[in-house]
Amino acid sequence: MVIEAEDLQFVRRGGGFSLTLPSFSMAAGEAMAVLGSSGSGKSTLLDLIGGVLRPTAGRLSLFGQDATGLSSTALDRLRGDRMGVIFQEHNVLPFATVRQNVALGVRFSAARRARLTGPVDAEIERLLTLMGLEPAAVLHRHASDLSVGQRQRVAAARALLGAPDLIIADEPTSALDEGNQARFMALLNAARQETGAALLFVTHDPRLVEGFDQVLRLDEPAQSHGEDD
Amino acid sequence: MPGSMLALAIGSVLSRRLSLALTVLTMALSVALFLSVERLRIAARDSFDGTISGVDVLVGARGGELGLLLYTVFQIGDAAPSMRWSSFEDLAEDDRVEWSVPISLGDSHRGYRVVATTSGFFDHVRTGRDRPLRFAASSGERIDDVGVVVGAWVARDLNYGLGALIEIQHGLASAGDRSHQDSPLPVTGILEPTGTPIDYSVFVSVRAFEALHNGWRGSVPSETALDVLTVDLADPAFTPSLITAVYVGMKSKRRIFQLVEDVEDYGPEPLTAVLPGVTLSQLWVLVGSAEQALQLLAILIVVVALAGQITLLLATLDLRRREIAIYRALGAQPGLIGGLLVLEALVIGLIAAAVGLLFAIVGTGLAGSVLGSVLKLDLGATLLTPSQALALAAFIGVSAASGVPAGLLAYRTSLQDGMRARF
Ligand SMILES: Nc1ncnc2c1ncn2[C@@H]1O[C@H](COP(=O)(O)OP(=O)(O)O)[C@@H](O)[C@H]1O
Ligand SMILES: [Mg+2]
Repeated sequence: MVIEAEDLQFVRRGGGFSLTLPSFSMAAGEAMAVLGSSGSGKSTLLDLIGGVLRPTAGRLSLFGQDATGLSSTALDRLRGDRMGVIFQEHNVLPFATVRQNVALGVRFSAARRARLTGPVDAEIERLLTLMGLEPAAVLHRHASDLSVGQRQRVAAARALLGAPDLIIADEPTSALDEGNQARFMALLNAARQETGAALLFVTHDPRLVEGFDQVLRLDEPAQSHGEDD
Repeated sequence: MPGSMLALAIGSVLSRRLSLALTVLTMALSVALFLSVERLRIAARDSFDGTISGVDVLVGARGGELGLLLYTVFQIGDAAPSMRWSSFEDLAEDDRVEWSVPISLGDSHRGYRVVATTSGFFDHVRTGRDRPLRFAASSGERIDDVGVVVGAWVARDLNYGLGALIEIQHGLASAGDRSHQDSPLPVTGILEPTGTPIDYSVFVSVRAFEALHNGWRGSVPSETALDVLTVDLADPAFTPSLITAVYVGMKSKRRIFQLVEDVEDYGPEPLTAVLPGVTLSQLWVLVGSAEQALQLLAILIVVVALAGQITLLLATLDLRRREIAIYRALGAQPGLIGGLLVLEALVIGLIAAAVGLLFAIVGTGLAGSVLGSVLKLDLGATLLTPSQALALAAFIGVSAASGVPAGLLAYRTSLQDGMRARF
């Protein structure tokens, strides 16, 4: 199992926000959508899975290991080794080239580097192509020269580099127009199926959750009572 | 792949180049100022300590040691009492003495003091760090004849060349009617600048000095004044009976204190012996307080520049939260992010130190010629003295350490931000 969460609960320090989650689990290669309005705690959930925040109560197991017992260093390593992350926006270093940005995916993890099947440059080009980018055209351009849609696809290529077991994506399409949204979703789905990674995809847009193996809804009133940010 | 991280760090730095360049410039200027002040300070002290650096012992009549030194070397204060010529001869014959030079003071030439001595003065007296006296121009004659050697400043100020005839005045006041008007002496040598009172002195031989004075009774010229140019200076009649002091060079420095003791116990007349180097160093402690204030100021400026660096690192940290969030999401440990900031601070410090050193070298190079001729300071050829190198290393260390608060803050905010790049 990629994720097994039992009665996870998180209370933000100083009060103000608490999140209670139903138990759920994700198998290898599975795609799960998390749907909730703004402020419902979607990003908080990803922080818990990513090991940046720790649950206040409940049990969380990642890749078969008990995550609640791990040190923060071990959690950082686990994230670096086995997860790819795509943010809502500002995913890329604007001063670095596309190649440098994608290569960062294996920069902090020896395990990720070890899983590369060939030279890193060949893999970068393969993933950029999978994400619908023309490597020759973008590889040496500065990320700041790209459109928002292109940057998100570069971020996806980076998240996929080194064959992670799980991709976590936090509303990666919210800054894109509708046409680009659909295109990004299609490319991401195809690319992750090709690499075999599981996907935990967060969105506030109910139209995007179609085709996912599971959908987790965070909007039930009992589960959250946070103020909007 | 550590090279790729460095490339990213450089890219990140370059993306903030304007604010960073200004900070580095401020820091470099402060470093340059500090190094220059330090260099000036050392030059000033060397110049002071080295006013008569070749002289091991200064002997004069019993009286205040400091007074003797100040009067003989710096022409400051009251005239020292005289000592006998015969005492000089005894000293000159001492086995432990390598060389000895008599000094007779009291006359002046157009406001510049006249030093009566022997040509040994120019062979043995050194200035600065053991730098021998050099002639900018010389007719080849030694002053043991009737020649006059003038210091660099005197020659420049009074526009004297070789062969110029000059008159010696009795006493220091420039009273025309009291000069040895009948006895003008020719300039036979002009010294190179030394940055010491030597530049402001006029040198004649003790014998010519004595001959000039032969016609004097007290401060009144007598009817029997001699024309110094025509007298035979080899005549024992012109051996002075009294002189002001003797400069002594030792064969072995280890015998200095023995000689000093013997001088103090000298039978025929009460004498005193001073170690010029030691006494001048002690005096510098008093004289040097202004320069210490300057140094303190320079240090404060460096501190302010370093504070500016911390401010910059903390201010730009906010702009870099996205960058840090990306690294965190990819598995970078907070410690690595803190280390990255400290490394960046170290690089800033290194660049600032290097640029500052360059500024200082160019600056003192340009200032050197000016200071050399106006202030008579020898800035020396050493690029970096050990103390300066130490100060520079300390600067780089503190600069790198100033990345620590930014690193700590980055560590904290990177935990708080988690892996979200909001904004
Ligand atoms: N660093 C933080 N400090 C305090 N409150 C926060 C912080 N991050 C998020 N919150 C609050 O936690 C709640 C959930 O936020 P989040 O998980 O980002 O929601 P979503 O991603 O669904 O919009 C919101 O009320 C938000 O204001
Ligand atoms: Mg969110």
